[in-house]
Amino acid sequence: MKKRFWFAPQDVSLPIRLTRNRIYIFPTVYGILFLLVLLGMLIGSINYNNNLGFLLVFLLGSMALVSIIYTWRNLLGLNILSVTASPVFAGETAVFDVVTRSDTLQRNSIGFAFKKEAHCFETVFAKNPTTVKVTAKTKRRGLHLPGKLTIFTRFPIGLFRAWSKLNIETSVVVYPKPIPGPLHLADGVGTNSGKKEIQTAGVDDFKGLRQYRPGDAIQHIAWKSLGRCQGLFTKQFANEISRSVIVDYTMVRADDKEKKISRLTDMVIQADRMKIAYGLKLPGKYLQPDKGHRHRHNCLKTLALSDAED
Amino acid sequence: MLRIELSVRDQDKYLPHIIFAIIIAILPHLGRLPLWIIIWCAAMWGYLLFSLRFQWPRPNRAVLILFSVFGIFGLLITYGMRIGPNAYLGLLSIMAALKPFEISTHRDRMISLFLAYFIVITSLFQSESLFITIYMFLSVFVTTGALILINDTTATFKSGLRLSGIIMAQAIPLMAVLFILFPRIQGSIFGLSGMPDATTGFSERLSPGNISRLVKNNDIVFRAEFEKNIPGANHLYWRGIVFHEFDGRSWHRSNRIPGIRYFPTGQSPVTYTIALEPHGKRWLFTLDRPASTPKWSRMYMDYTLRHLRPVNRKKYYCITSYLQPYKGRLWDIAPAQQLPAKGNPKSRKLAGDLAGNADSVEQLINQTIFYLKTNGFVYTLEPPLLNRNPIDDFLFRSKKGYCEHYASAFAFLMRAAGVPARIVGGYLGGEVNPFGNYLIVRQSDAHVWVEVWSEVSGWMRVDPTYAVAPKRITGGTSETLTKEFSGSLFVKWFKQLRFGWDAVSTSWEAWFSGYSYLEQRALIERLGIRMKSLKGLLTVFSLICGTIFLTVGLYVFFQLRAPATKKDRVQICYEKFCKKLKKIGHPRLSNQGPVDFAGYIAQKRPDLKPDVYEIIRLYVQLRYQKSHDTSMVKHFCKQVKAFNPW
Amino acid sequence: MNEAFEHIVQQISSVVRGKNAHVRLALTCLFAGGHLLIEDLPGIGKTTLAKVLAKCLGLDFQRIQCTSDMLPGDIIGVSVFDQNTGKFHFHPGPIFTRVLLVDEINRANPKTQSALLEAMEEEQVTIERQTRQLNQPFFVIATQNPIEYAGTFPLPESQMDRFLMRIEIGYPDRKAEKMILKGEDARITIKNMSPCISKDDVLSIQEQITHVHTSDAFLDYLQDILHFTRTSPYFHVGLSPRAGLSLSRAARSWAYLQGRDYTIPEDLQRVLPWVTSHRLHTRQDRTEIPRSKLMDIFKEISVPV
Repeated sequence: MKKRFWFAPQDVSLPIRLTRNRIYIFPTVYGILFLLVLLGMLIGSINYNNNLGFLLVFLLGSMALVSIIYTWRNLLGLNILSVTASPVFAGETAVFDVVTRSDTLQRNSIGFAFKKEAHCFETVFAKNPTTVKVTAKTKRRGLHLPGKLTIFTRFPIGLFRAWSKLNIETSVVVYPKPIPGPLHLADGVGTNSGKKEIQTAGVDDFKGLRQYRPGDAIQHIAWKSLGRCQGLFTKQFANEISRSVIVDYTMVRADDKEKKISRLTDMVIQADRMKIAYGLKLPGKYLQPDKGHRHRHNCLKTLALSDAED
Repeated sequence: MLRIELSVRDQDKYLPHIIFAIIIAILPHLGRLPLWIIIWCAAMWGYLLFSLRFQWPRPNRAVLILFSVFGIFGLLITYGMRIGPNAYLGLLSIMAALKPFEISTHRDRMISLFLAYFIVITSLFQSESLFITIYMFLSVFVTTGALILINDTTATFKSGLRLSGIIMAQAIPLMAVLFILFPRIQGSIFGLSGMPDATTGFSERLSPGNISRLVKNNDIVFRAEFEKNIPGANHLYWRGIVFHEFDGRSWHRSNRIPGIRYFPTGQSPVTYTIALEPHGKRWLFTLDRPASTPKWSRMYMDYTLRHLRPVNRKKYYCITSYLQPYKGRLWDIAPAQQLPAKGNPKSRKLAGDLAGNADSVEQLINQTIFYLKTNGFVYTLEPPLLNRNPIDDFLFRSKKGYCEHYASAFAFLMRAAGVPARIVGGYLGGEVNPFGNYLIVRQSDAHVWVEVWSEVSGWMRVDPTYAVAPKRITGGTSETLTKEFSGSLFVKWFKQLRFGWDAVSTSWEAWFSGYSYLEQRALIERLGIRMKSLKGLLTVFSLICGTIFLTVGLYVFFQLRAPATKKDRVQICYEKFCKKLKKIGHPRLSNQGPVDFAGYIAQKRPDLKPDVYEIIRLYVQLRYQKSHDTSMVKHFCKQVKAFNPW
Repeated sequence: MNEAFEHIVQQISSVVRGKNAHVRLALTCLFAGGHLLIEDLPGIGKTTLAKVLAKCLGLDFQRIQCTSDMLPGDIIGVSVFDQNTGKFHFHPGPIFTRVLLVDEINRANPKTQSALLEAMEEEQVTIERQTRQLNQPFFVIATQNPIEYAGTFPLPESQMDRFLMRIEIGYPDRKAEKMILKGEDARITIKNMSPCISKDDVLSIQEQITHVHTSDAFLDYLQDILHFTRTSPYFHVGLSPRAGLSLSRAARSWAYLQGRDYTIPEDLQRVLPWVTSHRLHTRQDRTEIPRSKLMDIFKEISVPV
């Protein structure tokens, strides 16, 4: 086994259960103050031989001692199932979903925080996994590693703090920050330039009439032409299925590489919003035109992790 | 509980509870706080609570500082430079009143609640009564409840209090062990420096109005428990202080009385234990003639007993007294003959007349008593004011007075007639508590009487008040003065309750306050541990540590192993069955259903197949089938019990 | 084991060789009153399975080959203008059958798809304000080609929910394949086959399955599973209450076919991957979870004792 320093956080893989050797406990500032007051009272009680003083010192001392167990037990056996986050744009705050579960008892007021980030308190109820939203600020695009996750608790009376520091291997994809601007597009699929439309029978745009065939829907019969005794016709409609574009790195004009990538990010978002199929072309990388959530993620992730040079 | 809608700012969320905890902590001190501080606190908290409700404006920081300056000034005016527990309490109260106004962070809340703990602590140096002890637990309970509330985001005040109660209950055994075993020392580290607080009681000077003020006070002075029977009412004269010197208006205690060295024996000894409430003075109370001196005290020639330091904590002492007077002469009786050269001429003349007609001291006493009985004297607690010659004025003009006047006049007459006499201040009688067979003596039992010297019979007790109001002696003050109250059923019932409580708290306090070095050693030695040796000390130390670890260990064991849900019998038996199979190396996976498990076992151990199949069949029937009767559960459990995979 | 059921399985397996487990699942699905989605390559034997099922249970059979220009009317039926009488005359579509094979459902356009799925759910169709009941029992086997995506309309997640199970048949093993190669033409076998049970029997079995007892302990396990999927970090969205009902139905049907009138956790475990695989998606990129992975995940849920 690798030797480690006492308080050093441990590299862990999820899911993990907080066991005895992962939990540290120490009095808080208030705890130290409390113990000092108790010590003073004890000396006073000895001096005045005041039995009620002794009683109070021992009552408060025993309660503090019992509270240590509560504090410790509040963390002991807590399961951290997963720590995941949805991608964010650079500069935004990533929200990590820390999924925790307690097998036996309800755990009150457990604090979660990444190093140097804001903490939040959550109560983990017995048996049901609880998702805690822990935030971490992001700066640059790429893979953001939030660092050590501190799980701590001061329950029940705030005199002691139990904590566990976990070096969890988790990361969040930070998309580049989009810079708004016009949408420069290279049209077409593959090398073909010019628009290409695939048309199929649809319901959106009226295309023309054709001879009635049994089985055509009754709503589509051209009653007007029937009324003019021109015969039975069926109205035909067409759908514009797709029109695909390419977002190309070489087409963007910007000062430096980062700005270019930011512009491309904005274009991807725009294209996605317009619901057109789009592909992404980076130096050495090409993503086929497609639509949808998954494709958008793939494109933005490629941009986020790109190390393209001009 | 507090029912204030919490539609308030987040930082004010816990304000009512914090204030509630402080109020609970401060309540037992109300009697010790000056009125202005009580009003101050009530006003501050009232305003704060209403401001939560009605969104009144809050004072800003400058105003608060101004207020604190005012508060400190008020304290300085009230207490001056006398720094004692009362001043300390006053300061805490003023802080506790102002602190909630500036609560905004977790830190402020914690500090406010620590203030409440501090206030609880101050009550300890006040009294060790059972009431205060119980109240201390209540106060700690409420404050800890509030502490839990502010430390747990999901807690309600109710759940906080519940947890606080649970923690306290779990802490109590440990507390008890620590209390009993924690080594006590004899004496003190820095020297006992009790801080005297003004209490009522006798002063060293007997001047008009002293006693009548005491008689209206119902505080308990001491309790006396007799080893055997309680002596008759005519013996229950609790002597405290002897006044020898008369300056023409009032009587004083003499500082020139020497200490006693020799205790002559006598007849009819009674042994009794007195639990004296702290009174800030040095005298201890005894019956007639004590046969020995208790610890930390000194006996004087006039048979008064004085403690070495003012009695500022409850004092217990056991003493034996002889009820018969000592006939011999112990010391010079000159101080008992002193009279001012001038004043009260009429009385001096009366004394001369009375002495002329009497052959002996006894006769003189009888005649004087007779004089008081026959000349229209009235017993009252509100006598008219007397002029410069108080004895003359009382004997020949007003003829209205209480024990102090009669004793004073009587002693004067005796001395004027040439007979040594002195006035004794103390308490007369006391209430018998039927629950504990002990006497409760209150300030209202305060009394003064006279002792007269005769060569024949030594110092004799004479109670001139008896001549005028015999009931005052036999029945106590309350019966002569407050007849109209007694008799109603409620009063009787209330009295019973009070007696019961007093009996419980007295015996508790006797044990609790008395528990110190000697008692601890006795108790520990009864357990077979010799405290004196190093081994003994180590044993005690390891006992303490052992208890702590045992408590913690037991707690952890039961809390962590306890199943979260209640199991039924089928479940228990099935788990037992699985455990048996686990022992032979075929554990059930947690996601394995019963039939799969049976198949798995049948494959691994074909010999067990019939048994396992039968048990699983029963289990499945009990768990998953529509209907089954209770006898099947029994059958199932029996099968599991009989199942032996080895 | 239910003997009648075993006989049916035997008979079907004599045609669809080496696919015993899939035959059982298909039957479970059918008796549970649900519909089946088969995702597989052409030529694996989907059509044969559907045909032999229909034949064996004495049910009539129809088949639709989906294309992108197909209209809802092609499935449901249309009112045809009779030029002789000058009136509209309703021509029932292929949906008015008992076993319906919808081949390559993802080739049909969304409108047609939803018309079909709507009909499957409601068990009735409304044409020109006239509601027509579908036949009972009604069992749809839809197939999807997982390889070719060009020009297809993948079924939306919400509509996947209408299928009780989704199975992949896969290639037969070596031994079974030899039997197929050796044996006579399946079409002839089916033609000569006589039904094992009648359609009324099928209805009565479906009726009996609804009365299979589900105990509290069983429902606890089911709820644990549902809860697990809703809170687990693996899944994007948990199982819906409708999915829960489907699970219960499938488990009861499975239990019945095993010859029991009560369910046990094992029933649920057997049908679980087939009922849930098309309803759950990964949290990360919302792709489907491979079935083996899914089965591993479900191993985390313990069976209440």
